[in-house]
Amino acid sequence: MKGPVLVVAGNTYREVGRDRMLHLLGALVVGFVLFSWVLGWLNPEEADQVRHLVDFGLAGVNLFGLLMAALLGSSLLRREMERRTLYTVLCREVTRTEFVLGKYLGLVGVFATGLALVAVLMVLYFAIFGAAPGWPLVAAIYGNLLEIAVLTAASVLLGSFTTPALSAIGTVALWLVGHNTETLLEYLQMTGKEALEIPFQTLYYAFPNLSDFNYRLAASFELPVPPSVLAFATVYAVLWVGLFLGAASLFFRRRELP
Amino acid sequence: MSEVAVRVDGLRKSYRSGFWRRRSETLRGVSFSVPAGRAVGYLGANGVGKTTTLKILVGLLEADGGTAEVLGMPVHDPACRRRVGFLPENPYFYEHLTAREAMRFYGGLSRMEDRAVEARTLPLLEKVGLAAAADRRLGEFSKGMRQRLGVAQALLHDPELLILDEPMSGLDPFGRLLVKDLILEERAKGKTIFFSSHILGDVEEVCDFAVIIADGRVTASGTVQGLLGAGVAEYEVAVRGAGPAAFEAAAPGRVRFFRQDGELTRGRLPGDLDPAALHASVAAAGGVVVELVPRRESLEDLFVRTGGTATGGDAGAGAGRKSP
Repeated sequence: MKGPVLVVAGNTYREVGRDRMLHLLGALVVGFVLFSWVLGWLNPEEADQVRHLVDFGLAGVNLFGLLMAALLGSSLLRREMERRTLYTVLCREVTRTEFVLGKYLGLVGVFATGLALVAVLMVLYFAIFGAAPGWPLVAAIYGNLLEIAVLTAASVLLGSFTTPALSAIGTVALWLVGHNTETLLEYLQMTGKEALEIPFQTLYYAFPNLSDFNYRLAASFELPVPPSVLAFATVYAVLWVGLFLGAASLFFRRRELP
Repeated sequence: MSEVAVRVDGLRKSYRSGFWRRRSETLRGVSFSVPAGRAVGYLGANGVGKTTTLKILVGLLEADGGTAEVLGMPVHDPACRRRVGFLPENPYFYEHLTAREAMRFYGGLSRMEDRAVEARTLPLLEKVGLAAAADRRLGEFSKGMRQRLGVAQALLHDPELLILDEPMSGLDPFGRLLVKDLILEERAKGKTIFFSSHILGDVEEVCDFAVIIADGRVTASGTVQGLLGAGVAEYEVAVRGAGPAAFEAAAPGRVRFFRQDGELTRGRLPGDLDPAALHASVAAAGGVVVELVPRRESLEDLFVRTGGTATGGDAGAGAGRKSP
């Protein structure tokens, strides 16, 4: 017997796995990775060729991961309410928190499967060029998954109290801010302005630092990524996901069902 | 088992709508109780708050005020829903699932063992006439088929209390008969069935008790017999050899309907008619009364007569009480 969270997650996994938008974005990711070959081919240096392949491929995975999280995460709960499919679910011994968690896990499960497929594709693809990025590439893709997991949770949170369009825009904004919060601290260190310390520190801690999940440079130069770094990133991601989903379920519990 | 399956006291609910988010009150202090082991109809015109009440009972909506208990537990306790089966109005399902997969999904949500779900799925689908469609995707189901599946999923975990929102809606006559039989069958097993409907003939056939709601308040509750009373509502009369004038003479200004049927003149006369007066007036016109059939009031008559604001009934056997 599975708990309701896993039952909802399993159903969401199957449902999202059939989503045409996901298929389209998945095809675009594969096309993007394959297109990196053209860029590599333009570069006469063989070592640079592989590096460009890795850079371009991982950048594509990150970008389309963001789009998937923003578009699918934002409508995850709204679609249930509009289609009224949640009536026959929430009338059972299932709390709204369990429902939100199950929906989220199912969606992230789909992303994880997609990223695993992309990782296999990339390793095979690089092997054609005689490169074996190996562990750093896997670490970079895992980092991507953590980032997508955090962005999806943010998207679900925004989607729990606003429209899917606004939620998607908010998620993209969070991605932009999350990749640049470190710049604030760097600026602070460079200028040493004490007046800016509190607002900049607040901003830094108020948003997830998505740079902590970025190992693309390590993959590009085949630098090792220590397991302790990955473990820290995993805990950091889980904390942000927990925070976002906790807030999402609070909003969702207050939502009147039509 | 508690003697009362559902207890609702002073339930209030309002919704905000429009640009200024104005509140409109749907439930204005609804109070009633549903005796355990009975089939109870929840009646009212469209928009009076039937669905709102049912959604509060199964935890889909939160009341603004008042209390609601199901099987002795407050409705906000999710544990009580393990013993409740719910059919929403016009149920919607995940279209990617087949009927069999949907039952597996709902069984999982009800924390049933896989084997128990497997054992109950096919018999239930057979019972609602969907066995042949067990492996068809729900996206291909008609409205009536979805309604039947909705009934099956509500029964899957063998609940003590069934809450059904318009269970006969969207069904053909065979489907309605099937749902009525299911309600009677579950009642015979000692289950409680509380359902909303505006098909009053169906309610009258299967219900022991009825709760009538109008304008956000319960206006009457009690046994169906008690609500309708034992008196004659009207007489259906057929006379030969006399015209409508004889009816008018017996009940001046109160002939409800008449028509010519060959050599017979048929009509409906009020229930307080004196049959002797009718015989006399028809005889005076040179005719003879060939049919005089007394008819009891139906729920529909009661509803139409009172515009859904019927008062009366009894409060026997814990059937409930009139709202203030």
